[in-house]
Amino acid sequence: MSEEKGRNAGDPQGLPPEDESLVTPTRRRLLMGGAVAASAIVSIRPALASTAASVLNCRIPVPDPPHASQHIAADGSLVPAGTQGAVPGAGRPFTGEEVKAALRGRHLPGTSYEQNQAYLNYIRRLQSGTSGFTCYASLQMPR
Amino acid sequence: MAQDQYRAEPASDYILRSLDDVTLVYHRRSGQTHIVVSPVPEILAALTGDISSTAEIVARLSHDYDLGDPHDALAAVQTHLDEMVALGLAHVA
Repeated sequence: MSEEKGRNAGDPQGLPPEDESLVTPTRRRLLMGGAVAASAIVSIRPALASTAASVLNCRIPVPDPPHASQHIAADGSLVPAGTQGAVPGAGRPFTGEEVKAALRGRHLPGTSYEQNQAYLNYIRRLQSGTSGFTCYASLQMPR
Repeated sequence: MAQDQYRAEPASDYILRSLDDVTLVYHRRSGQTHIVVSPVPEILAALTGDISSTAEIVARLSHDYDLGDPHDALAAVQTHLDEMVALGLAHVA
């Protein structure tokens, strides 16, 4: 049996014996060729189908638009405007990047100490379904 | 080019599911799902177990696959490895 296998070195035409195809199956081509390898990966973050760059640019309004007229207590809960110790909502939504920095100890831009504490506590309380939740949740994902 | 050594993310840290045209890689630590196509699953398989250089990975892949021009193959696999490292699917050892 062994003499049927392998290349016949003495063959004048240099053609492989017929059984060569059984010994050396054709390998599937793996790379597409060319000098530039196109990206072969699309990544999806949980609850957010978006690119990594846009996570830091996503927005968290404080409070969410349906409750824009309410104020925010020190513990982050929503209270009627004018409640003692509560602060009005932020004038503009914060970006994911700003919130991420604030959670690590920096101030949310344009806020006093009380506002910063109240807003961060509000953000920490965000639940699924509230505007800004997905942005906040994405910040928690380790890369 | 620096001879970086690579290793895969431990197999227990991700789940692979092959679909018809793509492979899904769920990465537990980040909670991300990566939709990947060839040659990423093949490179992942060639990485598991050992710490390997790009050249060793290319050599391992060429046992089972036709990689075309060796110089282009090295560059292409390197590009994919860099992307996989950036996403946490592989690491520089």
